[in-house]
Amino acid sequence: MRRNFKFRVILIIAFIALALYHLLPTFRLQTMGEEEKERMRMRGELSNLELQAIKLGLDLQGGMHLILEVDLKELFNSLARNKDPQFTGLMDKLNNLYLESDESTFQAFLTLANDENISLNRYYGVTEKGNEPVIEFIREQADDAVDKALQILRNRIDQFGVAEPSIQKIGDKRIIVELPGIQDIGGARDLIGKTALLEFKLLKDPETTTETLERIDSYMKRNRMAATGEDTSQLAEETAVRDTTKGAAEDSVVSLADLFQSDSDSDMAAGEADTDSLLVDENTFEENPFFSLFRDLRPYNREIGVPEKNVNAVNFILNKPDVKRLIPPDAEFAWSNEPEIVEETNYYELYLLKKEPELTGTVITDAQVDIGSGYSPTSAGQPVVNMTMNSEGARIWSRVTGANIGKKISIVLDNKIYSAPVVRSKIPSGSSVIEGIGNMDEAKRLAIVLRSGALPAPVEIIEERTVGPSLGADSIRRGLWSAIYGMGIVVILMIVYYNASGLVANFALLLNILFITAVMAGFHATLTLPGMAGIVLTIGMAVDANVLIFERIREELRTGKTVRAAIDSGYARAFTAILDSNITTLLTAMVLYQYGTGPIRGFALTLSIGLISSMFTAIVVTRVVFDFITTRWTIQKLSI
Amino acid sequence: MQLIVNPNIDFIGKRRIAFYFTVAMITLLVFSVFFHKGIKLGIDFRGGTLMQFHFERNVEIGSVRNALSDVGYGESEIKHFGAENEVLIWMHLQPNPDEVAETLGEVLKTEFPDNPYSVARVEAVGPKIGKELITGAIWAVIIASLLIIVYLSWRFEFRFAITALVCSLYDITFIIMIFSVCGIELSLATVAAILTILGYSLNDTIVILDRIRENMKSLRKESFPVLVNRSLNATLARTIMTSVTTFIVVLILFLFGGEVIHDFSFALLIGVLEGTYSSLFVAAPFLVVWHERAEQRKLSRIK
Repeated sequence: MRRNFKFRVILIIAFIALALYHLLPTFRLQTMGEEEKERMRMRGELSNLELQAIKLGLDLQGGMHLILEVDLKELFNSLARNKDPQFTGLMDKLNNLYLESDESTFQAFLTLANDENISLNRYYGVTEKGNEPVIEFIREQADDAVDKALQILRNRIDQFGVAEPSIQKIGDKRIIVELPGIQDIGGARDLIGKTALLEFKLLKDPETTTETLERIDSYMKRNRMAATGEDTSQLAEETAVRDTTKGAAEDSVVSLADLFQSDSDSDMAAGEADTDSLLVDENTFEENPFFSLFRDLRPYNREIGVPEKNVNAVNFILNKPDVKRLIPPDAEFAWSNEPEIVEETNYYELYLLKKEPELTGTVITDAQVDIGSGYSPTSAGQPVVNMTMNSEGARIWSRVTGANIGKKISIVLDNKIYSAPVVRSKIPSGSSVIEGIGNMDEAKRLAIVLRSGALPAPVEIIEERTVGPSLGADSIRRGLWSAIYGMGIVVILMIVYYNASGLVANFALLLNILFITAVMAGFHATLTLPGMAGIVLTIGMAVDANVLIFERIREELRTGKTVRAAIDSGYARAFTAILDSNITTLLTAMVLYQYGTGPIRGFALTLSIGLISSMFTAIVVTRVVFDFITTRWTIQKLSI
Repeated sequence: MQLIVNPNIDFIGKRRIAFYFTVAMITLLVFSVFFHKGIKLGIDFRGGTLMQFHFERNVEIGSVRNALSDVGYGESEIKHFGAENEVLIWMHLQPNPDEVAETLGEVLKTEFPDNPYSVARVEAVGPKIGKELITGAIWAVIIASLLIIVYLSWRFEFRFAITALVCSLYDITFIIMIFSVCGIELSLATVAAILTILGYSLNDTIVILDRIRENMKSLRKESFPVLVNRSLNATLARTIMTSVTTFIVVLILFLFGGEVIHDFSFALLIGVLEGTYSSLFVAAPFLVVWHERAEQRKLSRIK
């Protein structure tokens, strides 16, 4: 008994010492002044210290939590080469399906291709016959894409400068990003969500452009005639707005229905908001319904502009299958990224581009932010991004610029045109500039994503949780106070109900709190608000083990046993109850940990640690105390 | 101080009353659920965008809704969150939460020019995730139950395990219905609370089962119902003490823990009471009834 006693005491003291040691970093961090923190940060020692302390969850320190998923359908599209109308038709059908899971996306693609007897091999360069191997190939690419995206996102976020960001892959297709303490939430979202696909595309020549627009215009006129059966069209004015621009355009406000002169719902079905008031040129409305949506901005040194209000309508028209057929197969329409403000109206420019890019962002080696010099009137004083290319890129760029002097080449990022300058001369140095950026912050982010590379496929944010810092601090305060009050009441209760033995139980309780926090610090585990609730709950439940033992001891005393014997059998008998009941609660806590995310995991964690620790303190620590007391002094009556 | 010394309450004898009471509660709750139109799902499960605005001074919901209607969001759910200067807005999933937040911000600024606000929290959950969380929650409950049956069958007997399981099922049903009646949403946190209550109630039940197990070895002469009764009485002091301490602790959490975990702590509060009740008045009687039926079957086989 003696030797066993000594061993147990040493064990307990060892644990306490270990616990205190692990808690030291947390204590230091909390009590350190800001100046000292800065000094440590400079020396690069701060993160070391932080890694040994308790980590605060996002709900306590504020920050952003995102779950991203790779957009599979877009991946199918971007992996494909030699896309022809057959392929685009297939993609259109796929995009119209609502698919619940990744598996079904693959399946649907396969089924669609098989149904139409389309061989996917030549689009994806798979030599093995049949569509199944192609799907396999795409599957592998999808896995790769997620890993690549992970890498790229890490690069981007590293450059963003967040302390202790966390980026991890979960499952096959998803990425969790956590940015603690971040202030610029919109900026972060932009940085992460941007695919950053950079392409250099030539503009189609003006003749083709005009021809295409005219074709669309005639189509609309024909449709309108078909609907009304008449040649004359009616101007339905909601409100007549006379807005005289420098040209001859006179504006009227009409609705999309009027544009089409159609009552059919299918036409309107795709019309989302903002198709109620379109600005059309009254003069051309009857003869050229499509053109009436545009404005000639050449007097302002621009091309054709579309007032902001009309953009949705124009898109609606351009996306109609009939209209798509009117566009040359090697061309596509694209919008400018930023609107131009002319006489207080926002105009977006519409361009017809060659579909195949001359060059993509893979050749960019560096991108730096700068303020535009005075060479170009459009960029003086505005933020620009200067790009440098690798040797292969420089070679291609030199060839492309050399062959297209006088023509316009557009710089397209994620299908938005930033600028479309005229090629004045051959550029041998592999340098290029992006203008047309809204503001400095956007320019900085642009430079970051260009440097890190384009995401292999667009990522979708499927879950986002953001907590402001003040809410976080508030939560910490409340959690702490709850814990303190809880402890206080339980301590009093134990003493009142169990007298001096209550003190022993309280000592065990204190040790519990010590051990829980130490374990969390030691493993750099995350403390969340539910986690704090878990600690508070543990305070209540930890007492349970002691109560079981004490009640048992009381019972044994009542049957007339001696103090020593009562204590012995009390512990012995209560043991099975403690073990079985705590283990079952532990099982549910573990399931909770598996199933839960973030904050809930924190709760399951503190609860589990608390249960284990309370078993230890109740069975070993309090026993040691009792043994000590009863061997040191002969107790006649136990204060319990 | 000892409050309860050698109690001798006839739990088992009065089990009929307990049974009727339990059934009455369940029926009441079922009606309430229908009345309240079923169980409310939180953002975690149904998806959408949630924003919490912290204003400096109190704000009326009506005025917020008016302001929102101007920009087309009048149909969102708007409510106070704890205090009257905290406003919670829920709307269907927005593809551009930033723009929406900006629009809302502008509108709120115009509507309440002298009442500055800050965005305390934003949550956006896509429909895919919502469905997955629901399936995950159901799986979690199923797996937890299975694990427990296995463990208990090993440590006790099979019928004890089933008793515990039945008790747990009752617990879960009761809690979910109380949620519905009190208007608590099912969210990640409240599901976590349900699992916790499950664990706690089991904890309680097992202590009693442990005593029954022990008495079965030492009080062989007694009839089973009497044995169970003795066990219940013997553990009563502990049951009450633990329930009281846990309840007080959770009460503190409920009162001082703040709005964010309010639903969570409320659920735990109900759960502690319910867990104790179910251990005494659902689990124990169930075990006795099972035993009686088993005995009857044995007798009829002999005949």
